[in-house]
Amino acid sequence: MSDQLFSINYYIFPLVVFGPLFLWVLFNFGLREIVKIPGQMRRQRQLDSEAAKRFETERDRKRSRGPLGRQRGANTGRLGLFAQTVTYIWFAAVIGYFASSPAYKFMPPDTAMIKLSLSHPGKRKEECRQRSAKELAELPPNMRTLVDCSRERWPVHVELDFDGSTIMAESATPKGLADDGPSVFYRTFRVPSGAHRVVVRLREQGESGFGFEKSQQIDLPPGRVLAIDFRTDKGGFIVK
Amino acid sequence: MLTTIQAPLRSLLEWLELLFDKPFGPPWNPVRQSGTLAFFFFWVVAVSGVYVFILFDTSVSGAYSSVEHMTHEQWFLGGVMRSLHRYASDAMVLTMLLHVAREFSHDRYRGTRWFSWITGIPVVWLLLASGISGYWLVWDELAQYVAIGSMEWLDWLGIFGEPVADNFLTRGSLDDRFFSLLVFIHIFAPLFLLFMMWVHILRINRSRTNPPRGLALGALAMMVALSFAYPAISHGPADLGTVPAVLSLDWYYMAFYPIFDHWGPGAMWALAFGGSLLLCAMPWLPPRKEAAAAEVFLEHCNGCTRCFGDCPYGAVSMQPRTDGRPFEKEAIVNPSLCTACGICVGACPMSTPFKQGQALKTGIDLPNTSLDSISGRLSEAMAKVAAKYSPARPSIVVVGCDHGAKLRNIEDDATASIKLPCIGMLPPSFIDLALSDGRVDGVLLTGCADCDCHHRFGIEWTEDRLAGLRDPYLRKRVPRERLHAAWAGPGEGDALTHELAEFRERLIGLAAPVDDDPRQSGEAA
Repeated sequence: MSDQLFSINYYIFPLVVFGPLFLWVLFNFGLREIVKIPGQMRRQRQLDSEAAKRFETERDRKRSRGPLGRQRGANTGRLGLFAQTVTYIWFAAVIGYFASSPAYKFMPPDTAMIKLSLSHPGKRKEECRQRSAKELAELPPNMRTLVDCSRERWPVHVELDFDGSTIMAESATPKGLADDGPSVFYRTFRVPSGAHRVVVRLREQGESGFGFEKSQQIDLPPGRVLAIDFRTDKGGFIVK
Repeated sequence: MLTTIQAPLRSLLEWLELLFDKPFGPPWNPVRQSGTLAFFFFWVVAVSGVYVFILFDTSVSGAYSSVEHMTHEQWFLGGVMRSLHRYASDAMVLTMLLHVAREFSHDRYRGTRWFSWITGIPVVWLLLASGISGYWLVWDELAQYVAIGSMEWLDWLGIFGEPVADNFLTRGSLDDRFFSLLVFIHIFAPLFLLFMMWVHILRINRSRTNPPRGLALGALAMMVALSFAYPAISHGPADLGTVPAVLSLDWYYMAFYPIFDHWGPGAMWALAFGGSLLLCAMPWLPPRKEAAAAEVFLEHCNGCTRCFGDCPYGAVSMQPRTDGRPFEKEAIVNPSLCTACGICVGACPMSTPFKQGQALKTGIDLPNTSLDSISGRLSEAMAKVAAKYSPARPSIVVVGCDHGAKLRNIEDDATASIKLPCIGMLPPSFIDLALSDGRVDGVLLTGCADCDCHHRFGIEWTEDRLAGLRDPYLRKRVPRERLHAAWAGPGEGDALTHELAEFRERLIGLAAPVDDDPRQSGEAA
């Protein structure tokens, strides 16, 4: 952002020059018609307003007389205003203090974070099958796809090892009512900063073996976020 | 069980109210005005927000620098507006919490008041959503922490195809398009909030959304002074490649985030939904046993509309006459809105004890606390003090309400009391009767604390009726010096005793109420 963009003149000058012009145009081409109040209505409003004022004055005068005893109105005496100021300062202190204090320690020092976030569909549970010409002819024209695939997919299983110990081993069921969507993972881990080895594995079908695995030596400074993503079009796991 | 929770909270709040009554006076007491102050702070937030938005750059790369610019380069206006925007929204949370605590402790959320309570729950949610979404836009480390936490919390529901938190995964993940969505959330959440605030007060007759001018000016001055003295500042710029270690949370909006960090999103959803469900169920935990709703007696109703105009809950409406009598309209009561406060009874011109007949009949009456029964209690009270009359101690009948200071403590040989559901139920003609009868030297009216009537308008309408500003008037012949009003809440028993003693002192200096005092001739006995 350039300084010019933030210059006061950048905002104020056009407002001063074009603001009244804009209002004049707006007023003469529409606003006047909207805000135009018939003279009779204007006079009535004025009379109503004056009557309301008289009523308020009368109300104060009458209420301040005998039957209601000591009236306890707003405290507008000098001492009252001073006490109010003190109270307002107290209020302001409470509002101001808790608006940013006490400080919250989210991460201990010498700690970093690993975020594993991936969305990947498992393999279909049943292999796709070519439809015969007879089958295709029996189907409505709009449904004549050459391949017949079942919708259900395998859950995706992901494991994460940190310095040789497994800190995550989870399976995620596919999304969707027919279990035909992607399996989604989003996990965060607080880990000590420094040099570590991370191994991450993914299984997209069956109950044993892993189709994808990545092992990487990492150096995590304190407060650093290590993101682990998965993209089949980029060869599998991305650690950055 | 419920009372054991409400009573200490009520005592605490009453202590606070009395404390603030001293410097401010009841009309300007910020504790008593917590609801109107919350509305006022909303408008401060809205106006300051418009200015902040003019200077705000809605792109990911420009958001932080634009906020920094308005804070430091244009500190005298942009910075103050930003601080006002933040602190007024904080003050709105504070006043809202105070308002909720008061309504709960005064038991003003059950029965017919359930609607305002239930519609207040989305107000809480929308207020939090409005405030939290505002913090995202600064796009500093705090925004990063709050935005990621919020998205992780939403992702737990599993309703999004891809985790929304993915938008904050690495440097460069967040694009302008998603950031614009955050800006839209921060604009639309407050608009919905305003809409729900309107719904919240929809069923309240003559609802007040503006604090008294003096209080509003004081609160605004406080906010401006705070903004100059302690301007709101940002954390360092957001960096999705790192995690901020220490954060200066705005605890009014972010108190839940540390809990989220420790308990996780599932527990937080349970807390949020469980808490909201509990709040929704509270008006029926247990349901309040409402007194029977007011009843209209058409044979005594002339359709004058006074009950309609005075009802604080909009429970009385007027409809075309159905009984063929030569009046245009008749009153009709909606029992689901009626709290049986009796203010309509006090407003009815037919509620006069000077009529001839066996039982006292009026146009609108409470089945459980009829005007006739009140008339009987008043007569008993007058007879009690007249029986033990002593010229050295003028006799006083105190008329109070169910929600004010306890009256039993002030009763003695020269003082008797009766209690009504609300002081607004007392027709002025009853005062006339008590003082013209000659057996009573003075009438003391009391009720809830000043400017804090449990039934909203009981005190105000009574004052107006006595001052001749609202029908039915107190007749001119009634000696005003023998009438005294001392509004005192449950915690102001001592003040009431003091007022009573002062009033009695004044009465000693006055002559007997009527020349032919029946007590002197022994008639009363």
